[in-house]
Amino acid sequence: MRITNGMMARRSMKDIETAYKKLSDTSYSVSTGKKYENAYDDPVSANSLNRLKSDKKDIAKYYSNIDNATAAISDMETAVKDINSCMQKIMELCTNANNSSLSSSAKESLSQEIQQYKEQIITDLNYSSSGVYIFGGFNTKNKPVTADGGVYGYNGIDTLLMTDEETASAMSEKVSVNISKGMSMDIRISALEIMGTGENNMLNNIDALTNVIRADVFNNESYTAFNKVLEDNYDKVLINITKIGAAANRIDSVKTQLKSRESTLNDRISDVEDIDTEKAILNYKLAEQAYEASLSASVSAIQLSLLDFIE
Amino acid sequence: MSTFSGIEIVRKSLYVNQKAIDITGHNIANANTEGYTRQQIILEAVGDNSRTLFSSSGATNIGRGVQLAQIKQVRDDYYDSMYRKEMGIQAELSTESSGYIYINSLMRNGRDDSISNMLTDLFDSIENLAANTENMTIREEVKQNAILFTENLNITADALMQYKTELNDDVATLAYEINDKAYQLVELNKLICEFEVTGATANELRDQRNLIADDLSGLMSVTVNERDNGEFQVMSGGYCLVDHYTVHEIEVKNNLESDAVEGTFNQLYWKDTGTKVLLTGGQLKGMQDIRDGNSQDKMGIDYVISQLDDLAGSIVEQFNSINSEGYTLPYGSNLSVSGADFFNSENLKASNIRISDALNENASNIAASDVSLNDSAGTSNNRNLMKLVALRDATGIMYGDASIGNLEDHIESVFSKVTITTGYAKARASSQDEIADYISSQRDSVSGVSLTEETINLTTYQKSYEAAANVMQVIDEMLDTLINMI
Repeated sequence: MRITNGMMARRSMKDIETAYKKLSDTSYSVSTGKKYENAYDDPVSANSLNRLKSDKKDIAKYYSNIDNATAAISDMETAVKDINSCMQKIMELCTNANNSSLSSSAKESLSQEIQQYKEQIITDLNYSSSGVYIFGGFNTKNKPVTADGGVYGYNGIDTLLMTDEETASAMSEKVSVNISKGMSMDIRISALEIMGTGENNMLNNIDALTNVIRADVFNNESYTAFNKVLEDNYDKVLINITKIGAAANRIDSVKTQLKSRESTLNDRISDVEDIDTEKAILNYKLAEQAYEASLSASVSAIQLSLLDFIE
Repeated sequence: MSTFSGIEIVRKSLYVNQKAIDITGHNIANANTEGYTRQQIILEAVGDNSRTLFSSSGATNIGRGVQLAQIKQVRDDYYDSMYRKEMGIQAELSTESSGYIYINSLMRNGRDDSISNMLTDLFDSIENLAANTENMTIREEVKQNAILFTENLNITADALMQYKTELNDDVATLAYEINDKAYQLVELNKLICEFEVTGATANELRDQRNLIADDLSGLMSVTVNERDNGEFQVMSGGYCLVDHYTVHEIEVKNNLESDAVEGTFNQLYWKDTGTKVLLTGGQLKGMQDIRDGNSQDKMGIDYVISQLDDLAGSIVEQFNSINSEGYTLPYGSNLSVSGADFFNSENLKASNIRISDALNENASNIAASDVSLNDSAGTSNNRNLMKLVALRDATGIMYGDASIGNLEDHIESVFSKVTITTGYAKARASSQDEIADYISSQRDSVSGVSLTEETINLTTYQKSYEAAANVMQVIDEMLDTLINMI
């Protein structure tokens, strides 16, 4: 085969271009840490990368939900724990009231104290976090629990007059968020669940207690009776604290799970996408050498001709 | 044989070697001329055909020197036709490859502002809203993400459409260029025929003609024949573009009623017969394929746009059907109503998808509640919004006859199809480059100028010339001797 100058020149040009392209690719890898620049440079990796990244997005989308749930739960926890301590105090005061030697003024101050704790409970039931009332079901704009004399309303309905249907509907107003695939969590508890419904609600019970103490008819028998209803109310609060605690645990475990899946995915993404730095630098050095070699070989190959040797 | 016949031999030799040196000079001068074919001088010995039985030299014939038989172009028709064939394929594939790469960049595939990331952001903000439906800031965020998503689709679809229009213009331009080259070929055919009537070969004109045929083969696939009688033909897809002295033009037509689908875009027809030009290769074919490709196997702009249209349509359909079931948040004097659209439901195309006027007016029109909120304070009712959240993981979504499946997966699959096609086109183009390069080298190996070879020739002819001159000197001295004897 004849080798002509045109062939030689084109060959050299092509070799230099190839070496230069390689140099540019490897330098991209070294400077960015990525294996390739465009998805179409390696469609197979790009596709598995897309899949991995969409799996990762699937996980990431739950984080904001989990944050929302965590915030809601910690708000609820604060309020319900406070209600819990108020109830404990009221029950203590109830025990203190069971003392026939108490003066009427002492009884009055006891009832006032109980009333103050009740007010505190109402405030807790109307707990709002950044303008959102958390115990009102779907109602988050207005205070869910209202007190008008001895009449307590929940979302505008007198709790004593609430029908079973109304109660059920109010209880079903749960705001839920997805915290993982196919796993949702209620992030609202209705005030009714904490204070109880109908005649047995906590607030009316406390009012009844103060009325009895004030009327000076509080005796052992009534103490036993009130102690029992208050215990029941207190149990409801405790159940809710347990529920909230369980929810918090569940969130923690889901979060840990998501984190570990995310980190596995990150590792796999990195495997596909990222370079091994030592290898990349080595490749870059090799490409650099190849480029230099192709330049110097081309220069000497093109420059020489027979003319140089004819005297 | 005359005493002076030796001088004649020397004269011929000097003449021929001088010519040979000229040809070598010509080759060297054109070593870098594009399309130049090296010329070779063919010499032949001149015999003594006088048939004199008893010549002065007895019964032996002495040759009469050398003469120039032919100045010949060294080329191989096989490589020429191979070259044109491979160049046609190479031009097609590299046009397609760069077209796909451009489509990839228009779609911002894999970038942060890609359509799929925008949809993810939209769904993320909807999930966030589900926990706080009364929060106007988050509602506004959902609205903004919806706007960003629609704008992103608009921009992408517009850019693809723009590219299609550019390609469409290029198709017409290339068709005119092909006609122009055909006319140039006809002019050259005339010149060559006129010149070669004398029996000489019009080497330089032939080089020009071959160069134009080469260019032509990159634009559309052509085959070139030169008949024994010197008639020169260029064929493409069974039709004759150049028939020696005649050009059969390609005509660009658009707005054809008979071709409603593709009618508004430039289509190529043979002007004489009115039949459509069938392209089998070349830049023109690459451009048409990218412009018109509308299936997964023949992917082009039409296919990508139709996929984006399906996506836009199905998203609008799904979002609207869910949003219109629910009740909006009352605001100002506007009551809580059902039936509000999320996206505008007119002209469902990726290029003009936008959010509904209602949503544009106020983010309260995201219908999160499943009951009217006019008489209820339950503003954080998110039962309807949870359906939008569930839409994210919904599968088996249909849009008309098109099976979409899951919305996010659908976008991913459109993008990965484009990526794979691009990668494949790029690989094919680069392997075709190798083939074209090989053929090109083969052709160059036959027809190209080698300076080393020319230098050797130069030295050879120079030495021959010197030697002939020496012979002349000897003859001169010989005659001198002869004359001085007297």
